[in-house]
Amino acid sequence: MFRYIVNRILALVLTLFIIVSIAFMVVRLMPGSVYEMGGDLSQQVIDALNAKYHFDEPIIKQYYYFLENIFLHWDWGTSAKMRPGVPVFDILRDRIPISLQLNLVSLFAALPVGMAAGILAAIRKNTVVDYFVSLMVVLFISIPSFVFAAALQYFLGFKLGWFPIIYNVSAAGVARWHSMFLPILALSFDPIARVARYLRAELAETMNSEFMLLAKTKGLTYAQSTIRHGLRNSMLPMMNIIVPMFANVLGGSLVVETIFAVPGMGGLMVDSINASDHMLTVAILMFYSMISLITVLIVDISYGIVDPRVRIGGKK
Amino acid sequence: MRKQKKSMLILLSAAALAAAVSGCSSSSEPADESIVFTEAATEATSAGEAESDSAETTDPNGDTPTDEGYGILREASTSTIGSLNPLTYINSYSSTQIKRSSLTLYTYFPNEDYTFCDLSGELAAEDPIQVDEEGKVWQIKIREGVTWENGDTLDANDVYYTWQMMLDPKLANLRASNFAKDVIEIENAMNYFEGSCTWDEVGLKLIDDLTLEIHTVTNHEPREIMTHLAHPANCIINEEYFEKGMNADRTETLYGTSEEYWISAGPFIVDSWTNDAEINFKKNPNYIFKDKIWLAGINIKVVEDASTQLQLFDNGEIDYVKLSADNFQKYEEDPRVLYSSANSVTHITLNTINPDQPILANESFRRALFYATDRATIADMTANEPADYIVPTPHIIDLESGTAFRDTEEGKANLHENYGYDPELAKELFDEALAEEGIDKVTLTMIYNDVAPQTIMSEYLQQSWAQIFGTDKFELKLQAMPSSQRGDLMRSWGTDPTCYEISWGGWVSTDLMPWNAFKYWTTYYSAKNEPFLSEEFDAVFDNANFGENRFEEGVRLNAVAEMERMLVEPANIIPVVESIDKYLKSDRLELTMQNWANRVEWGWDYAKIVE
Repeated sequence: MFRYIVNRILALVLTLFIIVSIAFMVVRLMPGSVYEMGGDLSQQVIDALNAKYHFDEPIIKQYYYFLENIFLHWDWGTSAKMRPGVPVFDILRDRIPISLQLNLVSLFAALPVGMAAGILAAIRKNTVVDYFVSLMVVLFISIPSFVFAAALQYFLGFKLGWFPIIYNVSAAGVARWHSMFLPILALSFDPIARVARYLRAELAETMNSEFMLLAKTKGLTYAQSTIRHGLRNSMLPMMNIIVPMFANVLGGSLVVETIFAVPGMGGLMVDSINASDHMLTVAILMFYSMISLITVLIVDISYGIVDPRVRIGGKK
Repeated sequence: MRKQKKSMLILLSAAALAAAVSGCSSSSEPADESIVFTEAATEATSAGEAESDSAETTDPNGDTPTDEGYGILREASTSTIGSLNPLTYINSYSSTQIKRSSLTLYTYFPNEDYTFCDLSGELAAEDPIQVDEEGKVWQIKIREGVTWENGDTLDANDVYYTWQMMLDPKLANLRASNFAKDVIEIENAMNYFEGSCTWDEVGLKLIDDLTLEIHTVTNHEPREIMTHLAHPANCIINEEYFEKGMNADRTETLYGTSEEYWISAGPFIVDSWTNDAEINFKKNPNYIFKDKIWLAGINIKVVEDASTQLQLFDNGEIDYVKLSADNFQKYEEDPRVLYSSANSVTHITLNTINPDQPILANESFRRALFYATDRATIADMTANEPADYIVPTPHIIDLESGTAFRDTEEGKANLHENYGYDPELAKELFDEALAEEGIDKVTLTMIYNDVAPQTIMSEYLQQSWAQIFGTDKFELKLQAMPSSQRGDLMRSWGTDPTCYEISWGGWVSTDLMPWNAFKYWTTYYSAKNEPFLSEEFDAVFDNANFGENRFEEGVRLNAVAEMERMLVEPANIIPVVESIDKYLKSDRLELTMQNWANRVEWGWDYAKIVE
């Protein structure tokens, strides 16, 4: 198992290296110069800045400097536009916590709600309850989170005044969570629907299994057989969707963060690309890639634990 | 079952890890400072109210501004404040915040009756003193007793250090040329920046603790020196904090990038700052001109979404909001709307060297587009003013009399009947151009920003030009793209002449020096949108800005008129509308400015909270 995990981590590092290299090339080859930005910069200043950051050199040489700085000094460069002169990871360090907080809380808040809805729909299959949950699932999945965000902001924040219209960055404690409620809620709808849909399908199938019939014939009540055997067997495959769901929610928060003025990673990525802030863009892309790869790694490792055939499958 | 337990264990571990991460994250916010600030503001409010009650007056501000000020001005910004370092800031919004908490040698204040701006010394004790006969050597006296936020003395040594750092070749500051050569050109400043001379050769001297000397390349008048030094890039930096943020090889500094690396000296002090989210200023009780400031502080929240900003305004959470073209219609009849010129004329730019569209180099064709543009209708659709000119209406040609260029005879002579809209003449010129080029049909692609008003204007031109020229002879294709991408594309005409065909442009320029505002069309401007290259134009520009006879009566006025004609008559650019800014202002905010004025605009910093 240890060897399997080490192999997966090595694969992750290699994949990350390839992604970062491609990101570097793509970002640097985009049209437009970093400093030709329509301001009152003289050509001498533009030339000096291009020379300082090696933008005037061939792309391969720039890539060499980029790797050299990372491997020798763990220096990923400084921001050119968003926060001039600030190391890119210092910028990410300021932004990542709030994005992670928002996304993780919304995901873990969604899990019990989604599970409850899924269970309810499965055990009340083909009833009004099931139809209602299915309708909600369709709506929650098909309507993007930012539509919910705008609607929640307008009705619950602006019209009813129950919640702050935007995230209150300077508040602490309850007030802070109060201002965070709407973005969390907006991000929760999609995971709620996905969990509910998946669990309903799994549980409905399990409920029709022969071992469930056996359990009932052995004298277990409907509730006992459902909880002890039905749910346990249905919950296991859930793990496959919960972990990757985190990466999905992170993507969905791009617009939601902008709507609620949350100073997270969402707006930063778009802004850095638009501003041609190359080093920052590469760092952000690395962050998102890292998140995706780690979720894949967790799923892979958990697969390996659950099913040993996965970890020994590759052996000759 | 054991496998299931293991799986659940992993899931629970992941949940615990996530909870731990989410729990940790709250520590990064400077909540305490902000709360203190709010309490301080409340105290200020209470104090103001008590004072007001005892004085039996309805104005809670009292008769004169107090050291603490009264009330918090609440703003929302779509831009983030990337840096408060005046040497490296990127956007104009940052420069506004830098100016709020820093000093320049000279600055613009509202005049005595709050109707216009007044350029005078801020850190400088008086106007520059001419030392030589030619007007190339100037001395600047610094005020005594000025301090930084922490009480340290701020004198000529700080200014001199700022100049040294600004031009430092290793730092290669973004704003170096704003200081080295703009309204004035400082002797050898750019040479030092480029490493081709020593600091001793630069025309900047420290005479004593309260005196500085500047040597310029050409002769100047005091006002030009003052205008140059009033630029936000010339705000004074603090040596201790600048050095504190400096890296080992002295190529980067963190100065002005966070609260830790910032110290204030201007009208306001940075009280708390959460990067890219919120900044709180409080009134500086030691500011030289504290008697001009009524506010106790300013709170700025970064809210990128325009509709969210409007909700905040309607909810009474911010005191003014700039209306975008999209949401203006809803408030068109609202008496709270303030209108002012955006100091910019939106125009069509043409890539006349595009080898795929040689017709763009044809003057008859360009003029056909000029006369086919119905500016009045477009202005009506976009809530702007029709413009067949380039120099915006607020541009002042004569500061003594406050005369705007557009009010002069020379300015009026450049205007056209019906704002230059003449469909018949346009069709005539169009047919002439087609005959000259030997083609039957023109198909052009216009690139534009994917937001109003450019969307509205582009779509209107697509229809109206085709109607005038004939759909069988003219087609305008539209291609929307983000603003920054469009800008990059347009500016790449030097390396890729096919990069674009026609698009939109608009410069916000020096409104008190309209002759300088034409620099965007000189051949040596570094970020030109269009390939307009004319030595004749350069000569007129240079003479107006640096010529020996530029101070003689009428020289600059004629130069401005001539430069405008050189651009507009051959339709090298096609002016369309003068942009109008629209603001919604809350009733709790009382402006001290009687009207919008150049440089100080609505004077938000000088406003009162009357709640």
